[in-house]
Amino acid sequence: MRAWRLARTPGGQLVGALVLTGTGLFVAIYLGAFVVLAVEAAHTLSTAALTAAAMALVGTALLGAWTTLLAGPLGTGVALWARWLAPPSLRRAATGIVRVVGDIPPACLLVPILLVPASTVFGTWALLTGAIAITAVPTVAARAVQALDRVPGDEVLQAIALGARPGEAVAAVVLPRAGADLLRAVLAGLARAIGETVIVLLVLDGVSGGLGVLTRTVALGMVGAGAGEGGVAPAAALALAVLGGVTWTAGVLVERRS
Amino acid sequence: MTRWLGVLVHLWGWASLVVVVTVLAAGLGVLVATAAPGALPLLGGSILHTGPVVLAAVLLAAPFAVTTAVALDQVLPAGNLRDALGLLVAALDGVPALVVGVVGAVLAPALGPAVVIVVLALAIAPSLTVALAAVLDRAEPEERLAAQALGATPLQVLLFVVGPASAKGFAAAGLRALARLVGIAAPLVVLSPEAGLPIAGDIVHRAASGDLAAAATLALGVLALATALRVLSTLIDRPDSWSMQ
Repeated sequence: MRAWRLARTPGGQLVGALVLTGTGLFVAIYLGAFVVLAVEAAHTLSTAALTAAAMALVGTALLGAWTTLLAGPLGTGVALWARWLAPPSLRRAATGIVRVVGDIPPACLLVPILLVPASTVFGTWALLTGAIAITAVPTVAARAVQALDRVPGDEVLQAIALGARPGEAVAAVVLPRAGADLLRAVLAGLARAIGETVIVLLVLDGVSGGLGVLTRTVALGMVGAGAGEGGVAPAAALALAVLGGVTWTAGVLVERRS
Repeated sequence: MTRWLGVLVHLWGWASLVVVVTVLAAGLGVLVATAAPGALPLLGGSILHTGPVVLAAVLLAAPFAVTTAVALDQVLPAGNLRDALGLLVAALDGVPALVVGVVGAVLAPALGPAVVIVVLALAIAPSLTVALAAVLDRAEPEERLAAQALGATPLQVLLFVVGPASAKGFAAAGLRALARLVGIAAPLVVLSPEAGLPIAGDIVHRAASGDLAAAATLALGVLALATALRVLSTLIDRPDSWSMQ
């Protein structure tokens, strides 16, 4: 076993010790942050706060499920187009643009929503689902392109050489090989987007119409805008952390198993 | 059957493209139409304030991210400990940044004016770690083995083979972290505006107060700045997959 690989020479031992110290501090800082959150939640713990946090967790999960149905197909569809369905001369530029667009700040995507009176046109759930989906689609697309990159291009080209059209090659070769990675891309996009939706929820205060959404509960509780919601904010933040962390880790595990 | 599936996939790809491009173009159009030239001095001042803050946050996060990435890729032996650390970093990467903002708000009295930098550093460190570990992992295994076969110690392999091979990737990952931090707003909405918020937090607070023209102008500035940083990072370190057919 290559245990503690650097520790074979004095210099290696020093560097190894520095690296492990930094890593230990990294872990300790985040564990400490969650302890701070847990202590704060314990101070304000009440049955009402727990119930509100649980309701908000369910609401967020439902919102995430609806958004998956919208952002998942759109993001993966754009990635498939850029990587395999676009004219060959455009593919390189298209995948590059998708990678760059994947890092567009959510605030830039959400501000236009705030400028359009969408809540009056589409209704509460449609607005929230649309806002999260718009935030998630670029991330999903960028990560889906990464997932598609891992499919051996030779196999797709062989299918095309045997007479398959690009769409057929994608359906028969790419999707079966990249399915798990694409699922991870969708989960990653959702985990990112759910946290950023707080911008819309906070600015359009009351838009959730009493719906339990974790980010709204946290934000209103912390800024003191929601009467009686201050006590639930730390508990809701913990629930949000668990939900985001579990979703993201599930995606990583799915990817590793594939 | 495969033929029909192929047609469906084709339609799926093109329809998704049309929908997404239309929505993004409409969003950009709304931003441009709403932006006010009078807010340009505000934009300039906000960017000048944001630059040092996000740079300080990345510099604060970098030592922890680098050491953890090196530990994951070079130091820890394959096994449960490394797997557990990898999963922990992955889970932290998935925690919404708003949660970090709440921690910052709780600790704000103790942290004082540094609270924004600390919150942004906490928000970016996990994803920076993941990015750096991926960069280290890309170093050619043949080169590592060749160096070991020539008698190099693991430290020499790290310093003289993996390090130089990863330099561009590290620079690109740093630029991507800057690009992300410029646009992160969620953890800032729970911090007080008196803390001196970077541009993304300013956008949300101005939008909440009804100053939509200024919010749109700032959003355009963030978009331009983040895109420029992202493009620069891509130019520095192009993924191998770009040499596609």
